[in-house]
Amino acid sequence: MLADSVFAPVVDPVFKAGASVDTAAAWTGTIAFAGQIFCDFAGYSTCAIGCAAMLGFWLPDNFRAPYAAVGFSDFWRRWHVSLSTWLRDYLYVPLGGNRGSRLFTLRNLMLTMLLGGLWHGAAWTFVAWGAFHGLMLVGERLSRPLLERAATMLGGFGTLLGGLMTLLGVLVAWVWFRAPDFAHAAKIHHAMFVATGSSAALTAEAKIALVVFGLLWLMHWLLRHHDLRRWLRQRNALSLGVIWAILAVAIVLSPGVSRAFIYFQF
Amino acid sequence: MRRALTALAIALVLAGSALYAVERHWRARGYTPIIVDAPDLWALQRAKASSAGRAIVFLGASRTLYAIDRATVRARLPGVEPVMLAMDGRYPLATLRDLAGDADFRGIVVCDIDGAGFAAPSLDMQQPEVDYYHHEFSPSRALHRILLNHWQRHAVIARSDFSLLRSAVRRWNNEGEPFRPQQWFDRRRFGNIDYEFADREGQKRALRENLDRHGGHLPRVAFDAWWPQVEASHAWVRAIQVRGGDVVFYASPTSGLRRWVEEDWFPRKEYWDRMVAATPAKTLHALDVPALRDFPLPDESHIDYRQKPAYTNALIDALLERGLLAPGGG
Repeated sequence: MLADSVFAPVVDPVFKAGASVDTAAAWTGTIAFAGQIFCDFAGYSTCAIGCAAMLGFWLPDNFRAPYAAVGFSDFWRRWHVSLSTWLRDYLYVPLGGNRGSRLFTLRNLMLTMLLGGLWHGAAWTFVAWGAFHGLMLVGERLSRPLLERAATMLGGFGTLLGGLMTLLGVLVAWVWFRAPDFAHAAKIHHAMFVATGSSAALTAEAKIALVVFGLLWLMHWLLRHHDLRRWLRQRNALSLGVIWAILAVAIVLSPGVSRAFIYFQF
Repeated sequence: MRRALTALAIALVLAGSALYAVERHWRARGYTPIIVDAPDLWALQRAKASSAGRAIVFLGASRTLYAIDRATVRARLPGVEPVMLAMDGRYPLATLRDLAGDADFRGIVVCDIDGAGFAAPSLDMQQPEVDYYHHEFSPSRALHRILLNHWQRHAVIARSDFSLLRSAVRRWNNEGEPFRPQQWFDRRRFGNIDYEFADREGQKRALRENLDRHGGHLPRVAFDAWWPQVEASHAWVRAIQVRGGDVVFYASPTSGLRRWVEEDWFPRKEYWDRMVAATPAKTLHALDVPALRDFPLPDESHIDYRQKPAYTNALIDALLERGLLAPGGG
């Protein structure tokens, strides 16, 4: 519902091959894509978990408030958990994992993320996306003592700052994931970080997408240390009924275009 | 379990009440449920063209989409199933080509087309819907669309103009109330225009502006560039005829400036009549049928929904009288 109605109409014009992009559009399009891919994929995953539960199978969560991650290793413990677990168990560990020199471990991290990028499709943009995540993981591992010291000094503010920095990195990486080619990804990155001046005011749709993503991020942050299932189990019938009613009304009042599930292509 | 059932009951009562209140709100402001056209609705009818046995398929653009009365066709031609595959603003050759290549299609095609419809840029106008039907439409999409038809027929809030997002955008932009469409469809995709409210002058104004841009005459399409599409259609017509079906190329009525422009752009003698002489299809030109030629056209090319039965009767009369259709349609 959110992926197709709120986010996709803001994403598609920005990432269309050949589209001209200014700074505001590059940021809104990229933030909207972060919202779209999460709502799309986490939504389908939740449907699968629900269907399995109806048949008596309890599948693990595939997403655990990923946009509230502090650090890239934390992000990969929260995003597409089934894939990241598989990559860890069947690539990183067989490659040697961290059972060797530091350089050996960093190599394994890079290789795992490069192959993880390639897993999404035979396109260099996916490899670049994986490489970027690999580099972030390597950088994080190398600077861990420094980061830990900073976290101790800054306390809660440091956690928030770390979360925002991680989100920024994840957003930058999503550009490679969604762009049709290298040239367009470079164009969007250039527009994001070199002010090009806004050629047009943000549309109401874009502003709404930003507000909804802000709420999504806030919810992730609040649920950062909580298990949604457990939280829901603790609600009484009345509050559960109200939550379900709000969701039902929102779903019924969101007719519109139905787009293909993004991960169908992978 | 008891907690879940209680929560479900509470959710149903609350959600039902809220949705009912929203529906009442919009109905009180004069909105009524309508079916909205979409690729799935077209694909559903395209599937019917193949599965209906003997179908009469209406191809064309908006002039046919909003002109044919299904009940009149059913009453006058009980031996055939009416199927509407015309598309707003797009010429029909791509769909004709698709039906020709479909071994299951054995019906009659009434293909509303004029000179511009055979021009090269018009050839693939309907191809995106044809591709959607063959590559994306599925039984689950068909079921979704059948259920959506029921929902749209009975609920104002089924229209996307009343969605939460559109409401938020309207409020953000101070846009006022949702658009009140003057066009609507039935569940089998037969369209209607209400010219009591629709803009009668819009089409004429656009045509005048187009003429002004081109110095009073729309740019001619060279005959040699036009003819290959006509020749290509011969094979499509024959393929349908071999299976027991048939094709009627039909030039629908226009009036006023629109009629003058069409004659100026694609003079009948130089284009249509030469196509008639060569095509294996049957043909009908509205100018040759007084009842069609003089039919009231509020914007010079479309039919008001109140006039659809009369127009459909006039068209079927013309087809039957000239032997272009067998009595009963079979």
